[in-house]
Amino acid sequence: MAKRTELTTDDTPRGPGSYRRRARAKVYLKDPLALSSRGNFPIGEAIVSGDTSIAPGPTSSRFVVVDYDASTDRVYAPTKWRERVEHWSQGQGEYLYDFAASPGTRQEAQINAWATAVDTLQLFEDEHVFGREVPWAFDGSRIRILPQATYDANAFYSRQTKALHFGYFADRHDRPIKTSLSHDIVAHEASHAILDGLRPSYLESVHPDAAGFHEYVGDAAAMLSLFRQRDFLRQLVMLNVKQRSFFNLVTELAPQVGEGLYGQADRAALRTARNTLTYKQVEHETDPHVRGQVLSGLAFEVLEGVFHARLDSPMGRERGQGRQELFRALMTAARHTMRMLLRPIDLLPPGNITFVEYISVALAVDGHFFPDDGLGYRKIVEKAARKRGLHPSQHDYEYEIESEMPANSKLRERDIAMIRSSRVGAYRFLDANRKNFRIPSNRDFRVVGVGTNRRALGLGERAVPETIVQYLWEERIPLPRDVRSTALDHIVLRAGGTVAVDEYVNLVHWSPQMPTTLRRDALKEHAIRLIKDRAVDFAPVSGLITARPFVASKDDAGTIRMMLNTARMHRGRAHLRSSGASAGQARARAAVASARHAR
Amino acid sequence: MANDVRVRAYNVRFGDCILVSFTSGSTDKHILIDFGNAPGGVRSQGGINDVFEPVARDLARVTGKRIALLIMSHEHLDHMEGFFSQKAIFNEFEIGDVWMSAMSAPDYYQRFPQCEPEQRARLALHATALRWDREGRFERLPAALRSLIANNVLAVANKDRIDYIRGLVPKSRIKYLSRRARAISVASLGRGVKLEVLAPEKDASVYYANGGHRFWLDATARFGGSPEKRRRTAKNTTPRAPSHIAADEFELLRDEIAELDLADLLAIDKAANNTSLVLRLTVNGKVMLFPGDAEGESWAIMKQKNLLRPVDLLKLAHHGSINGMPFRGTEDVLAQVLKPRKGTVALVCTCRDVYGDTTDTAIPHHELMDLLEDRCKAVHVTQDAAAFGLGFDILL
Repeated sequence: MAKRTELTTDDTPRGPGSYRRRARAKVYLKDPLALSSRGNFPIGEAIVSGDTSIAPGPTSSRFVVVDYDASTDRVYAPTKWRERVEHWSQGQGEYLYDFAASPGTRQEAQINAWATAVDTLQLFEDEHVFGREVPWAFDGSRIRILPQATYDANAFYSRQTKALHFGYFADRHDRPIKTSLSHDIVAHEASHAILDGLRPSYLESVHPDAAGFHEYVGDAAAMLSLFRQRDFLRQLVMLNVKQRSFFNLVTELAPQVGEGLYGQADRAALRTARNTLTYKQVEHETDPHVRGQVLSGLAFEVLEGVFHARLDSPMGRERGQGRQELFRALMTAARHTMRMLLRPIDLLPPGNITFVEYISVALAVDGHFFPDDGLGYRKIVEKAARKRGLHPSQHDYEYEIESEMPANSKLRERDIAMIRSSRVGAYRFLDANRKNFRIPSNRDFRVVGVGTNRRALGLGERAVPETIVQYLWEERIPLPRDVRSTALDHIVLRAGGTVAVDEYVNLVHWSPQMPTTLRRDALKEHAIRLIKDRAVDFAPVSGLITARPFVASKDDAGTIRMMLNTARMHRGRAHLRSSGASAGQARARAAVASARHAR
Repeated sequence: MANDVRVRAYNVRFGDCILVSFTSGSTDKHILIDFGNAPGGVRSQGGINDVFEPVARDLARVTGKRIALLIMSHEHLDHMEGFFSQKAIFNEFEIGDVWMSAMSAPDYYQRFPQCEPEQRARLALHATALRWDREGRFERLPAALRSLIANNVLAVANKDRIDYIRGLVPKSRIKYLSRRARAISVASLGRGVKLEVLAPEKDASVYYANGGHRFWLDATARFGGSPEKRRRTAKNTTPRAPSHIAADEFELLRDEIAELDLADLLAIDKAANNTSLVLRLTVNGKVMLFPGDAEGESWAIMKQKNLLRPVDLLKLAHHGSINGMPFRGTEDVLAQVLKPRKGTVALVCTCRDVYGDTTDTAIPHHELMDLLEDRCKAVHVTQDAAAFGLGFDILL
């Protein structure tokens, strides 16, 4: 039986007189395989959230578990907390809900998926990262979690069903594997929903970097959210820090599902973030997972680099490498990595993202807040980016996010109350400053997001709140005659940018994305490639999407909307067992499997 | 006139039925291509098979119950249901040869195991449809989806339909065809007739590919991925919403998930359409192209292999839907198959307001129709040219 420990982490301040709600839940800090193959590693209990509501399901303010299995068309009862304790903590009333279930039960999957997803959202909303609530991309406040959604080696986020679907399957030894028990998979899928809420257009971009970026954010969140669990860190520091395998539990993503699909001899995990991939190597890669690994490799390099820099610093050497010191260094390294790599996501332009643009924003944001880079952490990011061919200086200028902001003295309508009030209020500010923000006077742009953050700079130090405004406009780009069809004769370029201002409407950040020739050409080239690869389909029946990676449809204005088929993003490698397969079927499947491995 | 070629198209609601007639020597010859209508469940006009009998009687009258060549382009009901439905009349016909797509050969999937996902996907869709039907869920699906499912699975479910067509002639006179380099001559049709098979490819799995990977139809086959022993016997009742979810919200979620699963349906439908026998028929110097329901993937290969030539009559594929032309380079393909200076007559076997519920998804597709109007000598739409159950002639 696994060793189980308890952990509480939430200390979110709430208004006086309010009862906050927290839940304590047993979760796999990695997955059941990691547990069994490594003895005491790593299962624990995570505390999820100070929340406004907790109910059976489990249900909380932003998540609800619906245990519906579409393969059998059955519904399973929601899990209720085991007990609710009412007490006072730090002068505040609190309800602590305790969720627990036995291994192998449906309730275990319900609790694990819910607690991990809630924790992932908290990672992004953390005051060191975004410091604000993240909206969903769909019309609704709670995202559904289907922990045993269907018999399929697949897990996906769907904007259409407003849900995270986690499949289950049998491995080659007929052992059941539930993707909802994998911390990495749940964190990854929850991150898709979170990023979609922040930047909905990324799933509608034909640029392969946008889909790759989605995968990267999922993998990075899976890695970094581990560091929010003290129990995980406590067990990590038991390992030998000098061995290369020290970080394997962080970098090897979803070991159980990986083994279930490929066998241990083939691969130890579904994916690894320990890699030396360069952008050039994946430039023509259409699989977003492979493409995104360049960035997840970079993220791990930064995490490892900051960790070692911390240990090797004069202060680190003085403190030594005892477990307590390692614990602290790991926490710090993760916090800085989140700050440098996750925080900038909130400042990216809304229309589209390329890897180089992302790195460019990340460096610019860090440079703004920590101009002297006293600890040299930004240098670690720059070095890793250069090594992977992602440093802005290695690319054409026009791909960079420009960091030259207009002077504050030139801005008009600097009324923070108006900007915060609504999208229209924010529009008025941008409209009054079209020239400064290089918004064409003949374009009817729109504000697609406004939010104000409450961030922390360091321990106990709070930043001045920033209001972040995203705006964009669309341009139609006609397709050349040899690829044009009646169904798809143009694509859409989304130009615009993201502006962040402080309480006095001083510009803190501006990441414009202008409709340059290079951007137009790149987008057109990628669209043509998708069409030639037969990766796009048109949905002739309303409400029906296709099995292809992209679906095109026209809106009321006749503009073509391309949408990444998220239900298929993680599918295709699955090697499902099926009874009664003929020899011919087996041969066909073997050929597919061999082709997949050959890739 | 002796050299005339008469193409008689029937208004069978949403389906194909085309009779090509000409004189060879002193004898009238007839080639019948498809006879069917979309199955029940469509919004209007489809599934009403009252058209079959008058059409079958007219065919008997016009041909004198003698058909030299009967062609079934592919295994969809809107191309084959009429034969089975009117077997009492067709039993009296004297049929020379029967041609079908290579994929209709009984041993095809044994010979081409790489195509097995298509078959597995269709069988699994059939099993799913049956389950939903038992549970009363099928009727709740949008009408167009019900029709698409029925169109794809009923032929699987009722093998009798295809067997009936096979049984119209001795085995030796059935051909299961795929693209071949040379034209085929049929002695009974006379010397002036040339038949070229442009599609399907022998190995139909080429149509499932996407960027060199075959995953999309393999993924679709997951309908059947769940081992039987893992499937529980479905209850005949609708599952009740869990206590923490409002009943109507849960029902909506359940339907949305079902639609997500049905996403695979289009892949299955497309795979079957792309197995269509694409035939270029030359009679007395008049060239006609009958592509069945070939979709973009099939057109792309025909274009790539430089098989397309200008024709006198183009039967539009797939009832004039946006999928019935290549997704890439529609205009390029039309430029290759249409004669310059409006020299081609277009035939669209279709019925409006059956599939597609927006201007852009409606069949026939308005932009495609506009293109044809602009570039063809005439565009004949079966629904406009004749009343239900009647035919009209195009003289070439």
